[in-house]
Amino acid sequence: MTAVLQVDSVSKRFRDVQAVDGVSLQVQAGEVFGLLGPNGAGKTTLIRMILDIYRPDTGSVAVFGHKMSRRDLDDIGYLPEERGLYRRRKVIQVLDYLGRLKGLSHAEAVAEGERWLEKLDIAEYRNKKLEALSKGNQQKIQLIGTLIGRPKLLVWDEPFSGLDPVNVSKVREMLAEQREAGTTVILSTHLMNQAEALCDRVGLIHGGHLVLDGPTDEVRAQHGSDAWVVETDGDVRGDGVVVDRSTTLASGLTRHTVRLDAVEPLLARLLDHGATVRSVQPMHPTLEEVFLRAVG
Amino acid sequence: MPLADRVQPRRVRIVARREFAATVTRLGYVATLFLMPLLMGAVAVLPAVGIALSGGEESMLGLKKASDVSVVVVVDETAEGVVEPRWIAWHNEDQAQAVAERRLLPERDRPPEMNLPGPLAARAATAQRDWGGFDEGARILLKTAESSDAARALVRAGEAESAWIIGADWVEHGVAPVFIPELAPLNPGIYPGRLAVARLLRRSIAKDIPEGWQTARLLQVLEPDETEVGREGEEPRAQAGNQDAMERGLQNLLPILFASFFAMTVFVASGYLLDGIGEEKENRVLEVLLASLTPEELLLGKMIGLGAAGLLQSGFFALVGLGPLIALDLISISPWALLGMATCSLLGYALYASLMAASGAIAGNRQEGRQISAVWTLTAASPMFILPVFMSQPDGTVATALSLFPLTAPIAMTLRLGVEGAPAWQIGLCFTLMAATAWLAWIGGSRIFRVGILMTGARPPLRTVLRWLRDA
Repeated sequence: MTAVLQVDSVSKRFRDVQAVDGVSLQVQAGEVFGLLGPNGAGKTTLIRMILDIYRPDTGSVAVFGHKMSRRDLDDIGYLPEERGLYRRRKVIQVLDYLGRLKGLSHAEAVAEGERWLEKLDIAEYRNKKLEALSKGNQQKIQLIGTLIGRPKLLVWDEPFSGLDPVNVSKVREMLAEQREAGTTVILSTHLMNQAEALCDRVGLIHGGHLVLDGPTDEVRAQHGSDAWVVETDGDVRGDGVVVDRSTTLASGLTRHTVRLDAVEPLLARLLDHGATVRSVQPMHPTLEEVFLRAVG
Repeated sequence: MPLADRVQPRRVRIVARREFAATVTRLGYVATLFLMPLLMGAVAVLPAVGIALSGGEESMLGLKKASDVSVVVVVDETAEGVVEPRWIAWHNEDQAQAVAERRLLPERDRPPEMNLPGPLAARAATAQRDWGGFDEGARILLKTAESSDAARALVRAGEAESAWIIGADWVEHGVAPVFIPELAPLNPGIYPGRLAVARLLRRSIAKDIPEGWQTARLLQVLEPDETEVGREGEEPRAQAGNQDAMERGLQNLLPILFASFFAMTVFVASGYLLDGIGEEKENRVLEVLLASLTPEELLLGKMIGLGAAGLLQSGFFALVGLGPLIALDLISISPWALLGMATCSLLGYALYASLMAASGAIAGNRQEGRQISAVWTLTAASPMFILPVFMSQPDGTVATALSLFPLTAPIAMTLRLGVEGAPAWQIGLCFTLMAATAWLAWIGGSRIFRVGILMTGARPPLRTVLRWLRDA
C-alpha cells in the first residue's frame, strides 16, 4: 500500500508554546484517517503544516510519495475548522473561483459546482449570495468547495460542527462516497462516535505529541481492560461467582460483565443451571473511553 | 522551495482577476469614480473664493496690491542714452493722477507716440498684446539708478520690486537683464514693471519712427533676462520665454498634480488591499485560499488586481482633471518625464502594497491595520509637506536625498521630474533602489503574510515579526 501522506518528526513552536512536538504518522491511499485530540492539542497546526501553510521548525512532510510541493495543492481539498467564504458573492461565483484555483477551467468549475449543488439538493441557491444562506447550507457550500477538482486527498477539520442530524447524515454519505471513489481522507473531529464509525485508522494528539496511532479496532482493543461480557438468559447472581456488573436487556437477556478469571466459573455455573449462553466476548472500550483515558 | 514553484502565473492571474472584478463592481468604488471629480472641481473653486475674499491672488503670490506703489528701477547703460527722463516723469505723474481719478491704468491716455503710421500700427498692437503684464492696474513708480550695482542693492534691500538694465544688448536684441527679489514658491514668475518699462522704452525711442534698430525695438521692445536677488546670493531664473503667466502657473502645478495622482493610486489601491486582507482575515476565507495558493501568489495576485483597480480610478481622475488642460495646450509634458513618473508610480505601488499587506497581516483587525498603515502613508506623502523646497530647489540636497530614499522616492522623484527633471544617473539610481526595495518588501511582506495572516488576537510584538521574517 502507498503512503499518501508521510509525516516525519515534525515540530512547531509559537513563542512559548510547543504546538506540535516530533509527530510522525502515515496515511495510506484510500483510507480514512481520524485525527483526534482535545482543544489546543496541536491538530490544526499539524494540518496546516501538512498543507504547507506553516513551515515545520523541524521534520518533513511528504505527500503522494514525494516531498510536499505547492503544486500538490491542486490534488488536496481542505476544509478548515475556522471557515468562511466571500459572504457577498454568489454561490456559483465562489465555487467557480475555488475550482479555478484548483486548476479547472471556468466551464469545468461551474459544471462541477452545479453537479454538487444538485446532489446536495441546494441547486436553487446557485445565484444567491452566501450571506442569504443558512449556516448549514453555507457549510455545504464550503464542503463542495473542497470536493471541486476531484482531490486525491481530503483534509476535513470538524466537518460536522454546526450541522443538524440530517446534514450530519448527508456529510457522512459524502464521505462514504469519497471513500468508495478511492479518495484518501484525513478527518479531524471531536465526535468520537463519528470517528469510530467512519475511520479506518485513528491518531490521537495530546499536548503536541501523537499519543496513539493505529487501526481503530486495534486502538480500542489495545486499550481495553481484562473485562468480558457474557450474555445469557440465566441469572447466577449470589451464586458464588464474582460478577462486576449485571444488566437486564430489553430482550430479557442478562448481560454479565466479569473479569477474565471469572469467565470460566461463570460459564460452568450457567450451564449447571441449564441456562443458554448467547455470546461471550472481550469488552472493548469505546473510542471516547480510550480518548478520555489517554488525555487523562 | 524555489520561487518559481511558489509563484505560478496561472494562480496569480486568477486571483488578480477576481480582486479586480470584485473591487470595480463595488458600489463604493463606482460612486467614488464619479463623485471624486466633482469633489475635486469643488476643491479647485474654493481656493479661488478664498483668494478673492482674502485680498486677491497678489497676496498669495507675494506681490503688492494694485493700491500699493511698486518701485521699479531703470538703469540706462546704452551709449546713446536711450531712456528719456521726461517720459519717466510723465509716467509717474500719470500714475499718480490715475489713482486720484480712480481710472484704470494705463488703458486711458495712450501717448501720441503710439499712434504709429501704416502697417506698423497693427503689428505694434499685436506686440503690445503679447507683452501682457501683471502690472496693468498696479501703480508703478519708475526711478533711475546710476549703475546696475546700485539698482541691485535697491532690490536686495527691498526698496525696489524690479531693476532693469538697459544696455547694448537691449539695443541689439531687445534683451534687458532684470533683477527681482526672490519669488514666493508658488509664484510662476510674476513681478511688476515689465509693461511700464516697455512703455517707457517705446516712448523714448519712438519720437520720429526711424528705420533701423528703433523699429525693431518698437515691435519687440523688451525681453527680460531675469536674476533673482536673494539674501544668500543671486541666481538666474529659468527663462519662461513668451509663456503666459497662467500657463507657467499651470506648468508648475503639473508635477504636483502627477504626484497627487500617484499618491491617490498608491493609497487607494493599497487601501483596498489592506481592507481586503482585513476582511478576509475576519471572515476566515484566507485559510481556505491558502490551501490552494502560496502566500506569494495570493499577495501578488491581490497587488496586481487591486493596483489595476486603483490605476483605473486615478487614471480616470487624471483624464478628467488633466485631459482638458492638455487638450487646450495649456500644459505639456515630455513623454520621457511621463514615462519616469509612471515608473515611479509602478515601483512605489509595488513597494507600498507589500508593506500595507504585511501591516494588514499582523493587525488584529481592520481598524488596527489602518492605524499601522498610516505610518506608511505619512512616510510616502512626506515630500508633499515640503512642496516649496521641490518647487524652488528641485536639485537641492533635500530634494535629491528624498528622491533617492526608496520610501519617499515615488513622490519626490515625480515632483523633480515634473519641475525640471533630474540627472540621468539619479533617475537610474532612484529606480534601481526602488525596485530592489520593492522586491525585498514583497519577499518580506510574503513571509510576514504567511505566518501572520492566520494569527488572531493581539498584534505580535516587533521582535516576533522580525523572527517571522527570518524563519518563514
